[in-house]
Amino acid sequence: MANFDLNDHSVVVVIGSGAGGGVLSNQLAQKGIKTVCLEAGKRLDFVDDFVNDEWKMFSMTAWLDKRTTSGSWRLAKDFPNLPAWICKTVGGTTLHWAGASLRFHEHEFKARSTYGDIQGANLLDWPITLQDLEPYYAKAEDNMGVTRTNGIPGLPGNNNFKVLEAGAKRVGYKQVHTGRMAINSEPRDDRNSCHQLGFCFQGCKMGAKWSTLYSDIVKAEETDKFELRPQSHVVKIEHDDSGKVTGVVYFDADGKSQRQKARIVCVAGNTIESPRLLLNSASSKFPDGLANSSGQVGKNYMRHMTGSVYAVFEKPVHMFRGTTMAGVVLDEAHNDPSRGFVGGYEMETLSLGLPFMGAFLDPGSWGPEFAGNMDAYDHMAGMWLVGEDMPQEGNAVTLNTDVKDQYGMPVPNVHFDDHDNDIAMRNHAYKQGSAVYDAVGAVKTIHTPPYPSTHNLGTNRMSEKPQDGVVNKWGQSHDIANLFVSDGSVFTTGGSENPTLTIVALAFRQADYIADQMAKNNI
Amino acid sequence: MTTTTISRRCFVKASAMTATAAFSLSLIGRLGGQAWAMTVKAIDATTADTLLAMCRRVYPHDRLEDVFYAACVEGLDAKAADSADAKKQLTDGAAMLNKAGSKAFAELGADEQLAVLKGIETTPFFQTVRGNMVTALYGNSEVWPKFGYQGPSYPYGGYLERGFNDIAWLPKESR
Ligand SMILES: Cc1cc2nc3c(=O)[nH]c(=O)nc-3n(C[C@H](O)[C@H](O)[C@H](O)COP(=O)(O)OP(=O)(O)OC[C@H]3O[C@@H](n4cnc5c(N)ncnc54)[C@H](O)[C@@H]3O)c2cc1C
Ligand code: SF4
Repeated sequence: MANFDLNDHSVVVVIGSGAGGGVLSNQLAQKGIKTVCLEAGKRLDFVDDFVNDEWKMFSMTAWLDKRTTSGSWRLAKDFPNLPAWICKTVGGTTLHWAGASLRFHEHEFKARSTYGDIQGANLLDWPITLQDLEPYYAKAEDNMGVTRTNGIPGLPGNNNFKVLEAGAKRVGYKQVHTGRMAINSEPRDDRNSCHQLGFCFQGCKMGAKWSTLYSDIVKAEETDKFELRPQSHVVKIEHDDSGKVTGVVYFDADGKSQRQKARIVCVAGNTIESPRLLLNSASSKFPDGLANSSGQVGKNYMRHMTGSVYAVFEKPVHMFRGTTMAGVVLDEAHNDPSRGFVGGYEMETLSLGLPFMGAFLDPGSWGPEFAGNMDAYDHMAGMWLVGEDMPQEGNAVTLNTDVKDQYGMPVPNVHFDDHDNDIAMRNHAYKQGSAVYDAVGAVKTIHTPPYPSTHNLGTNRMSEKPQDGVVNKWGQSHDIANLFVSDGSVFTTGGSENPTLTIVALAFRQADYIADQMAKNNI
Repeated sequence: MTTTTISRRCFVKASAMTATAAFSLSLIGRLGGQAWAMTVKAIDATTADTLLAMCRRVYPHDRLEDVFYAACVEGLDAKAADSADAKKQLTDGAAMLNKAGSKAFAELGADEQLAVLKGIETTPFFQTVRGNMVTALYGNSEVWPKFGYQGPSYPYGGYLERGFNDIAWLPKESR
């Protein structure tokens, strides 16, 4: 671990220590590049600090700074200040993530050419292909220890998986298994194996599930090229007259304002904070915010088509025992417009504990019917539906100048309306999900609306042409050569898969590019 | 401090039933036979009793004794102790409930209570009570066993050796 001077303008500053920022930081440090990672949240110890309690872990780690919402999505009504479930802690949302790690399909990098001109959708092809990313997917899978890759065995199926598997096979689905999970099925990379705690969403107290907190960050600290500064909340990126960025202003643990100089700045604050920071960094030279000549910063916010199906059975299931998401049905993941929508979706096992089930099964609902559903808790099986949603220009993160955060900065407003394609896909997925459980004798199935968004994507999208997006195929901003974006906000389109493996693969690729460009003195 | 004593089956220490009641109840082992007290600091006894009846009707579970609903009321009371606005909202809300039916709310039958609550479900008062309850009730670790939820598993080594895959009733041919 190094200690860099605030005036050292030769460092790379990475903002955020989650999937994108944590991996990028480590890769840069491993290449001998001086890297300072500024992270708004605190650092927790996974053994000492993690607790098997949903609300306690949520209040310890969730990003709870004020946010506002608008649009016709139900979250704006049920959870108006919690549009997304994102962590503010060292490790970012890799603390709470479930570990599902699937590669994109080839066609998902070519959404505009494959799906055509879908009305109301702002579709675009990625400036890269699956072939471009394949070597980096391989590195990411090895780094995260993804099961069913690199000779790592799959996880054993828990009760919730067994119900899903039995039902899926009865309705004729073929591609059903315990997933490609960044969870150790056997000890690997100095991390324990999964002991089926069932609290993957609360941070893995075994350290079996990959998280940058106890993986990449620790490896980076073993070099002398890396410094992590927790509780360092960046509020502004600064630039010089030539338009190059020169450093960042942040508030430290004591609430004091600091200025860290930098040669390069990489923004990895997740899809709501990253565009917000670019917009809040507006200056007389860049009145619409940094990297925003296209006007696309904050636009095209995606959150995946999601929903859940919970089924009640006559006999107990105990779905909460064991890995939360180690189970997947892949048979609906392809693109087949004859189903009434473009793009595909997966079914993945999911369970919530009793506390979260009360809050999320049917938010706002009460009375005998709701209570009756809760009474069936230990007889329930559950699945999550996750599919590609359509980028729309109107779905956007903007600054709400009427509301300020603890540092006096305008808070982000998140606007979202479902596209007709999202709705058609969700209805199809609900129907198929119910069919899976009906096939093994469900007494009742419950269709649960989307939770606060866990997959947040698209608000600084990659594009071939500068007028179509914010960053190029390396995540480098079209407008400012030494300003990069390194998180899920660069997704041109969302694909149907859980996004983190792709975020990590892109971070590996970006690290190579940054090192190359620095060596050539281009940045 | 007002103490409303109701003839219930268990006794709860006042300290265990304050603001953090949702997470810190420690009732197990003390159930059985005794009377217990619902302790409120800010709201009056009528309001507390009315809210207790309301809480049971919002999330009605036959399997749960009143003590768990009382914990929700105590959580609300803690809010009332912190804020005059909250206290007024709860007191006025309870008074509204008591005027809405043919008798005091707590005296009404379950169906009539439900009808009264349906009539006010969009009010901020109702939303406050329901919103607090959903975390206070289902987040209460003493409630979990009543629903077959086993809570923290790390102290027991997870479910690896404790039934993570013990389901035995699924149709044979699909396994
Ligand atoms: C419950 C849950 C389950 C999930 N399961 C899966 C799954 O199974 N598979 C999958 O692929 N994905 C899953 N995800 C999503 C996954 O966690 C995210 O896709 C991923 O972590 C996003 O990476 P990121 O780098 O974009 O942001 P994050 O990991 O969120 O990291 C962003 C970091 O930046 C910090 N930050 C933000 N703004 C600032 C600032 N101004 N200054 C300093 N620091 C800042 C934040 O505190 C945070 O630590 C899940 C998410 C949740 C919540
Ligand atoms: S089930 Fe496995 S991966 Fe999930 S929290 Fe437990 S040990 Fe970690």
